[in-house]
Amino acid sequence: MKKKSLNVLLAMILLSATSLFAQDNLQIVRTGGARIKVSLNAYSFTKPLLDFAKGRGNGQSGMTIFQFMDWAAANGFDAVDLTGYFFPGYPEVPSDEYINSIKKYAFQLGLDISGTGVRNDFADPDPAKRAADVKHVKEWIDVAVKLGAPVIRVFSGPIPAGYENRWDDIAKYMSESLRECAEYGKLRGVLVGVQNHGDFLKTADQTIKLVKMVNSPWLGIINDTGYFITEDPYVDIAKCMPYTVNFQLKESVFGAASPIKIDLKRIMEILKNSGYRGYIPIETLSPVGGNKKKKEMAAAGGYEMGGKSGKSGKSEKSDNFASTGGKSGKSGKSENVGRTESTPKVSTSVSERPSYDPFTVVPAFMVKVKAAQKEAFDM
Amino acid sequence: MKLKSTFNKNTCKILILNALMFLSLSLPAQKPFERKLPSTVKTSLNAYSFNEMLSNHIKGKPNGMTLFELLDFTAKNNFDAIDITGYFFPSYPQVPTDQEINDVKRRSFELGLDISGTGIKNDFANFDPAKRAADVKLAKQWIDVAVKLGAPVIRVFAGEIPKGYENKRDEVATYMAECLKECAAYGKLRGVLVGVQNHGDFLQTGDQAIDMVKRVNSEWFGLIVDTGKFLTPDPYVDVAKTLPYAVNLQIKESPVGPGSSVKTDLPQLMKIIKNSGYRGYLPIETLQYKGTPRPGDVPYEPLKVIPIFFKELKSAIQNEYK
Repeated sequence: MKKKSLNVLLAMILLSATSLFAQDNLQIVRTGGARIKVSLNAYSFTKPLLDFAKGRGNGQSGMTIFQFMDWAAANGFDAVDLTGYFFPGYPEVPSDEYINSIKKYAFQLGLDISGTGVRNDFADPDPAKRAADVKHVKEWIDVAVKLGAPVIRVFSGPIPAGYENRWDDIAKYMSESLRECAEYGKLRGVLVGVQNHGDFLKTADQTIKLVKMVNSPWLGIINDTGYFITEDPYVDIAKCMPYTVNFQLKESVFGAASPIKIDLKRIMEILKNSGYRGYIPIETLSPVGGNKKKKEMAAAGGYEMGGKSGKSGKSEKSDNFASTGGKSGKSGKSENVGRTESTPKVSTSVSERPSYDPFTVVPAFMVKVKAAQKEAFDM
Repeated sequence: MKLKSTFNKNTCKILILNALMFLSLSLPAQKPFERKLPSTVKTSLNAYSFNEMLSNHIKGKPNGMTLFELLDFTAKNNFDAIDITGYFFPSYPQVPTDQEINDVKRRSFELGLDISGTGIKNDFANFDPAKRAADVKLAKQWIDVAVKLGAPVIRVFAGEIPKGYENKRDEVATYMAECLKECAAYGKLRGVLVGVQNHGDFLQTGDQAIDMVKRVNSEWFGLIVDTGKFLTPDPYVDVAKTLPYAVNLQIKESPVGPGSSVKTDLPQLMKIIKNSGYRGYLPIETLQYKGTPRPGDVPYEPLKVIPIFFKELKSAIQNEYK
C-alpha cells in the first residue's frame, strides 16, 4: 500500500512536471473537474457485426448495428462508438438514409454516438496509397458529421518492411496525411484522433511526437489503454491524457491475450488527475482474434521497432512506477504472455483459452468499470 | 388552476393516464415512438435559462454571457448535455459560420457535454403563407446547423392563434401541419428530428399537441414536452399523454408558469417519465418572470437558481431510477 501511494505520488509529480514544461497549445484545457460517461465500442462485437455486414451465412447470422445498439442500451451504456467497418458496404460510405436511421435509432434508445473509426494506413511508403486513405478518412468525416459522432479514429499503420529504422521518415509523411485529415476535420467540425495501436505508435512519446508534428488542434489521441508496448503502459496512458479525444478501455494493458487484468482503480486515478471529461468506450477483444497481417508483422519483428521494452516485462524500472507493474513485474513471465502480439509463443498459449463471447465478457467488464467509476467519482 | 396533490388524486390520475395511454396506442395514424426498454434519463440545460445574459452579450450590454461561458457553467455543474437554442448564436436568425458552429461543438465535446438539441423562433400559425414559408426556410437552415452541431433534434413553435382566428382552429391546424410536414421531411433527409413545443400558444393541451403530431404523421416529427406550458387543470395528465411522442423535453420549475409559486412536483414527474419508458435527455429550463414585479418577487438569478433546481431534479431522478 505504501509503495502504491508513493508510486501514485511519483506519477503525479511526473505528470505535473510534464504539464509545466511541455505545455503547448495542443493540450486540451478542460474545466469543471474530471467526469466520465461510459460507451461501448462496436468492435467488441466484431465477429457478429461483420458476419452480418458481409452477409456471411446467407445474411441469416450475425448482428445488425441496430441490434448492437439495442444490446448496448439494455446493458446500461450511455453511448456507442460505431466503427465504420460495421456499416454494410464499407469502405463505401453508407447512404444518408441508412446513416440517419442509425442516428435516429440511437437517439430513441437514449444513446449518444461517441465516435466512429476507419481502417487506413498512413505508414505506407506509397504516396498514392496514403492519398487514397486520406480520401477515405475525409469521406468518413462526412459520415461522422451526419451521424453526430464528434470524433473519428484513424490509425497510423504498421511499419513497412524495410523501414524498420526509419521512424522519423515515416513520421514525416504520416504527419502530412494526418494534417490533411485534421484540416478537413476542422472544416467539418469533427476531431480526428490517432490511436496508439502497437504499430507505428507503441509509446506515449511516439504518439505525442506525432501529434506535435501534425500540430493541429483538430488532431488528438485515441488513448488505447491496451496497446502501449512499454514497460508500464499506465505511464504512457497518463502522458497522453492532455491530448486525448477518445478512448478504448481494454481489459488488459498488456494486450488482448494477457491474463493480467487492467487496474481500473489506477485508470480512474489517471482520468481524475487529468481532468478528462468525456466518454470512456470499452472495447473487449477476443484473445485469439486479431489481424493476421499484424501477427505476421510481429513474427517478422516489425513490432519490436521503437519499443524499447517489447521483449520483456522484467525491467526493474517498471516496478518503481506501477502498482500493476508491481503485480506484473513480479512475474516477468506472465507479462510476456501479455505481450502476445509481439511473440511467436502466443499461438500456443492462446489456443488453450476459452472462446470469446462478448455477450458475457462485455457485461462482466462493464460491471467492473462502473464500480471503479463509482468509487473514484462522486456521482 | 388549482394544483392540490393528494394521494388519492394521484392514484386516480395514474389510472386515467393508463387508460389514456391505452387509447392513444390504439388509435390509427402516427404511432407513438417505440420504447421497448425501461426508461433512462440524462440531464441537460436549456440555454434559454440564461436568456437575458446571453442576449446581453450579443447586444453588447453589461452582465452578458458568451456561449462558451455557458458551456463552462454547464460542465462545472455536471450536466450531461446542453440544449443550445439558435438565438444565442450572435448571427441569429442568420446561420452562424461553420467555424462558429464547430468551435461550439468542439468546446462542448472537450467539456464532456453532448448537445441534446437546438431550437428556433418561428410562427406557423401566421395566416400569411409567405411568412410561414419564410419560417419553414428558417427551420430548414437551422436543421442544417443542427446537423453540423451534432444536435439530434430541433425545437420549433406552433405560434399564437392570430387575431380573428379564434374560432378557426381547424383552418390554422391545417396550414400549420403543412409547414411542419415540410420541416419533418427535410429533417428526415438530413437526419434531424423536428419537435413542436406545447407553448401555451396554439398548442395548449396534450390533446391539441397529439392532434398536431397525427396531422403531420412523420417518423421524424414529435413533441417537445414542455412541463410548464400545458394550460390545463392538471398538466401532469397532459405530460403523461404526450410523452409517447416526446423527442425532447423542457423541465420547468412550475407546471403553471414562471409567475407561479406552485412548484413542479418532481417526484411525480419522474414517476410519469419513468412509466412512459422515455429514454433520453431531460433539459431543465428556468425562467425569468416577465411583467411588473410583484411583492415578494426576487430578482431572477440563473447562476443561483439553476444549481438549486438541478439538485432537486437529480435527487428526484435518483429516487425514481434507483
